[in-house]
Amino acid sequence: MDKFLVSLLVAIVVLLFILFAMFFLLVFYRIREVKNKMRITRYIEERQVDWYEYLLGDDMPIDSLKPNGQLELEAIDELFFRFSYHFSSDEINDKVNAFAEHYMNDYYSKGLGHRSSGIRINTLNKINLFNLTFMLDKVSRQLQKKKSYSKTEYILMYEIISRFSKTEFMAHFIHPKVSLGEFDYKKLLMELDETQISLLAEDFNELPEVLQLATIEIVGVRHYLEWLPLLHECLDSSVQELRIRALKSIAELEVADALELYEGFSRSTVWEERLMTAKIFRSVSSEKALPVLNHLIKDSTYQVRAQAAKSMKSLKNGQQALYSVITTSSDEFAIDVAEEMFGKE
Amino acid sequence: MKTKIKELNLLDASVFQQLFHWQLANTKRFRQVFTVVFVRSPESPDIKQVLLEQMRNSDLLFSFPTGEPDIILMANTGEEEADVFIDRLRKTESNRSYRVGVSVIEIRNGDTTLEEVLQTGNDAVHRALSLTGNTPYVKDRSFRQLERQCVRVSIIDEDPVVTMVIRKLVERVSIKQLDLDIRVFHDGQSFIESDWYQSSHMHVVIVNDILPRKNGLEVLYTLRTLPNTQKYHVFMMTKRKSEAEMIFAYENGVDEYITKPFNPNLFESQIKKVLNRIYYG
Repeated sequence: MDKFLVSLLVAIVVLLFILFAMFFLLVFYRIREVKNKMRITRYIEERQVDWYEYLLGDDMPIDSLKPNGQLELEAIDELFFRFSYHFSSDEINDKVNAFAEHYMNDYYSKGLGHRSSGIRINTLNKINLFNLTFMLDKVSRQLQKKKSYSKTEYILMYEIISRFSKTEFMAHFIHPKVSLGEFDYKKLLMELDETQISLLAEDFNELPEVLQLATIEIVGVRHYLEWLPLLHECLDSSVQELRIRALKSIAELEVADALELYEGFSRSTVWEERLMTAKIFRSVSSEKALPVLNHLIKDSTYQVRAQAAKSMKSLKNGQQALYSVITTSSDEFAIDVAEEMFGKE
Repeated sequence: MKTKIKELNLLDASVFQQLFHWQLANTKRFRQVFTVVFVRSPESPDIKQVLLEQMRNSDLLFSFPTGEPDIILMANTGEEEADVFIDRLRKTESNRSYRVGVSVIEIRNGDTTLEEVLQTGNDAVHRALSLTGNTPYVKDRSFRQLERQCVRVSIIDEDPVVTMVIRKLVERVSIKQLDLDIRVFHDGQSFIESDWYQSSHMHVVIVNDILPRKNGLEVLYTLRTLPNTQKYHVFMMTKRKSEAEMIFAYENGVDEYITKPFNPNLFESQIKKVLNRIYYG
């Protein structure tokens, strides 16, 4: 019994010791963290004017700001963030890039290879925000590693690659290391410029279907008229969603040629295709649009009827056409939607 | 009838001081230029009738005792318009045999004093009379230089790095004759509680929309309820870029809406434009 009590007491003492040790360790880490933050704040306070002179003036030589130790690197990183958050100019961008390339290459490389995904994500975000073009090779190498990363990291890496390299992004977009949804692709595509979108459009058939959909949509949103033939090709696709997106983008482009290609969709069995056709015909001359819209205003789906009425109203003499629907049509639904359009005035 | 109207423009020298100061106050407050013309004819002291005939209806002639020059006060008038008066006066040379000395002083500086103007005008008339011709004149431009004006600038942002950069950018804008009195606040409450903004100075307020304690919009509402609210030119810095938010800010009295991140050089130009407008009207 005594033996049991003694061993229980020892166990309690050991447990207490471990708890106290952990407590003191936490306190130690916290104190160190607070001290480090204070040092960073002090560095920023003391050197912020020098940094202003370097980033926005002409007098401060780069060597005079050479960082001394990890804490100063962290302070400079925070200063860069605060500058980039509030101010933006090519001058600031170039100087941040030049300084970081000179003195912070290791700092960001370490961040990129850190075992904590939070730090890696932060580093990737900073590379993107500060426009650190010299990190492109390292980010590309990171992607070639066998190690797997989170989806957020992959998307950030693809974003950096597409931003810093005009062509390299293609292979990564076509064969991403993680499955990307349409929203992810749209987010990535929004950052691309016209030549990069053209590269995607040229190799359209090689792209995964989700990327095809996003590309088609971006062509419409950005009004890239030269890719209208590609949209026309998509109209023959067996993939229903692709046809709908192509029609949507054609409607966005507001083109009025090749009407024979679109007219057939007014009799499609898919209501979304009929809806987009009604939208396309708002940009066509009255005499060509009215036969199609008069047919679509009697559609069985409300959205199609409403769009047809809306498109009709936007035509030259559209008001008269709507009025004649109200007075002459035998279709109650068509009359309703035409009256509704008049009521919206 | 015409003569009667003209006679209304003839005033006694005793009221010159009041009207001069009234005009000077307008110069100081609204940057209105005015011109004072000194006229003296030693051979024919009674030149007033000639002057009244050549003056505009808006000009006032002050009759000074014999021996001193008479003075014409041309309100809201620059030197070029006074030249027209001198031309008219020179056209009367064929109808008169006596000499008339004229000095023209254009006043743009609100800090000018009456004594200085009288001294300069009298001296200039004497200098004019030492020249040849029947209507000699001298233009004195001592009072054309604009006076210094103080503009208060308040920078309100939580981040000391931002306030430092903005302060430096504002200091970089140099406008001759304009003194900038800059003060930094790190929250809306301390700005509102200070009596710094309650002054008669023109005031440029550069405020972030998100601030501790009282935010940028509350600062704006406070300024826009003041009776002299037009003295405040408000720059609002924000991350909000939607049209609706911009419309809301403008409708509530923001003068310049700056979306972050913004180009510091562009911001500097905007500040310069506003300060120029404040000074030159």
